[in-house]
Amino acid sequence: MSKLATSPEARQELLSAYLDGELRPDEEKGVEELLEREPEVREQLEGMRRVLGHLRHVERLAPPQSLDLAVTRRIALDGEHRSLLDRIEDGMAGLGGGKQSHLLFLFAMVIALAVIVLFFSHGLQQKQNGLIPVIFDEPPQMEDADLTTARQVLVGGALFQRHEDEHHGTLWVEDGLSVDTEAELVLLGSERAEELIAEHPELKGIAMLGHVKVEVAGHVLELLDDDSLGLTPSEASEP
Amino acid sequence: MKALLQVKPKFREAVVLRDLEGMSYDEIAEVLKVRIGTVRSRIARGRERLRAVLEKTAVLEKAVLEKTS
Repeated sequence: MSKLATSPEARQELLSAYLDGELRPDEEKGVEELLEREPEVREQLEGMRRVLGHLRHVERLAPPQSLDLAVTRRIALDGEHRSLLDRIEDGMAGLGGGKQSHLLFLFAMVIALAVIVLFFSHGLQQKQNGLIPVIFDEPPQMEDADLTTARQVLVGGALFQRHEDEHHGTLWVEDGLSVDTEAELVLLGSERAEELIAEHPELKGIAMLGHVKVEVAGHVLELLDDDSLGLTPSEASEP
Repeated sequence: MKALLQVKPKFREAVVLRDLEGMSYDEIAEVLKVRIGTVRSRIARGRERLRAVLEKTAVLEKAVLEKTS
């Protein structure tokens, strides 16, 4: 108890902790001995007790009821705004898998992501190699396309695929038709061609392709200009 | 209790945690991130300051009562 004897602050600390029952047994014993011997210390202790008495009468503040409502509302809103991933994870947990399901779910997500990335990278590579000409790009309008290299073009909203072979030369075939679809052969510049263009003005734009197979009002036409005619080996070989 | 406002914040928080919240010295040390010896010291000094303020207030009140009566 040397501290009690030498320092008023240390004595105060010990008395304060004594009231709280927070002293070691030896310290407690020392304080009790001192209290028996020193009336001044007893008075100091009583002073502290009075302070504690005052503190016990301090009104405790309770949070307003509106706080509880606000917190509850906030929690509910958070629940509504949770991400889809959180909800799926909750659903997985609800299936009874617990942590294992959670890990499985994440693993599946990673695999799915890897497959998607591989698919697109493979597709891009194929596209660069010219193996799949149109998957990612919107076909160009005829005005914007280089007709010597384009594989397909849009004319007046209709899609035409380029076809090339020895027999037909370059032939643009409307989507839905094939090279072998039976068609009425119409030489551009002929009276028949003028008649058809007058009846179906959209043919004027389509005819710009040179050699084209197109369906108009349920009737399939193969339009052919002079150049295309000259390039067609079968036509050229005819007497 | 307005007297508490006249106690320095670091002593006041220790007194409040102990005497109003009923926390043990260990718990207070954990909350305030200080050693138990520091908790003990802050509580004692806070209470002492509070005692001094209350005594001063009581003396003043007594003087006012005597003057008015």
